Amino acid sequence: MEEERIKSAFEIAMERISSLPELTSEEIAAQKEKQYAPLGEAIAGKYLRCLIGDDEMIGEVDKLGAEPGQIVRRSLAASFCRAMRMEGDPDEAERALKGINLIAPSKSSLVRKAGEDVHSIVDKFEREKRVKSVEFGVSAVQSMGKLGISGSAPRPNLNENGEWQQELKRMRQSYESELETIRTRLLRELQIA
Amino acid sequence: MKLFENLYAYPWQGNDNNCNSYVFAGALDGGKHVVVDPGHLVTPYYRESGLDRLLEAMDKDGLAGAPVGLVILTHSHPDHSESAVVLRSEYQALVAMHEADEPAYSALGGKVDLFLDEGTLELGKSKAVVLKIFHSPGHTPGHVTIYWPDRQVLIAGDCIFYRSTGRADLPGGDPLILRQTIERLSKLEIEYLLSGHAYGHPGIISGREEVQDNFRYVRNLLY
Repeated sequence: MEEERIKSAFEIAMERISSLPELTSEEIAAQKEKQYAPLGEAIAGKYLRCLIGDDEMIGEVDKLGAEPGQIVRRSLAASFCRAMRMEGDPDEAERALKGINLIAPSKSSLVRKAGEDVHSIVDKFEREKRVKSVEFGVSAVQSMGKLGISGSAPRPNLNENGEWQQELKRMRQSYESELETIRTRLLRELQIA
Repeated sequence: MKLFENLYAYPWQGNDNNCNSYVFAGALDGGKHVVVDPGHLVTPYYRESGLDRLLEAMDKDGLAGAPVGLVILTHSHPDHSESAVVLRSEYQALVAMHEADEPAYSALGGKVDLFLDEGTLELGKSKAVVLKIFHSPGHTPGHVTIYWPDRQVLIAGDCIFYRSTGRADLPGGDPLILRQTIERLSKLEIEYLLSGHAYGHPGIISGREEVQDNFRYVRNLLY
């Protein structure tokens, strides 16, 4: 009797694959997005931390093919937009704007307008934070006084003041939603397709 | 141990390392106490109870009737500060220390309600006790000492002990800065020097001449 030939694991795997349906074009696009988007985030991170310069950043994108390059540019733009945030490093935000200008040079007026809008919101947040922190500080000193603690030495630590932390959270959420509107609008207008 | 009408001293008497604690009894409104350096919760090597012993001693002195309202930490080291975490969470006491020592205290899980800058600290609505807080770095960057001018009392923490000084070799310590701090403190009118540790001596030096003699000894032999 003839012995049955034992198939290799590779042959079995290939048989299984051939019986699977083909990927749709959307699935292929999603896979490519998943593959290349993190590269954009990594390049953005290096650029924002000044580990690479302007030419190097563009060089990293240009050496990819057309389609991967577009995916990476979109991811770069999204990463740079996210870097413009409240209580973030202002130098990093400036560098992010510069980065967006480099990957979308034809949209510099849009980028400049978005930068101005972001600065305006961040300034407004910082001003309100300063005013409110003074109010909460005064209130904390009054509470200290009610306990019988006063003088020039003691100063309330607002980071441990629950009410101030709540107010700060509320302010951050409010201004963050305005910032997110600007980021979304900028990404849409950049139209990196 | 009662030193004055409203100041009690609790020199550490266990075998392990722990600090001396001091209490301004009933100094805050509602009769709440102010504790300076409550010490370890449990000592690290022999596992002796620190906070429990302090509270029992306060109870024996008739101070159990009111809670602790404020804890003042001379610095962040756990042998002075560990119990403050529990006093805050269990008794809602406020914790006060210099901002420069806050990172080290936070690393132990502590939270600071009040930062102490150099200046006056007034206790009680009638300001019955008025203290002066001196920023006294050297042992740690944010070490403070507490001076009570009315009674010429200095709570010195770990700056200076009987015939010795605090270490300056731990992280944040600086021997030259500690020397400057001690020189500065030596110029105060001090009748009672209450130090942070009972190293071969209870840690309470009384009498102006004895206090100045101690400063001279430290100056001559260690500097």
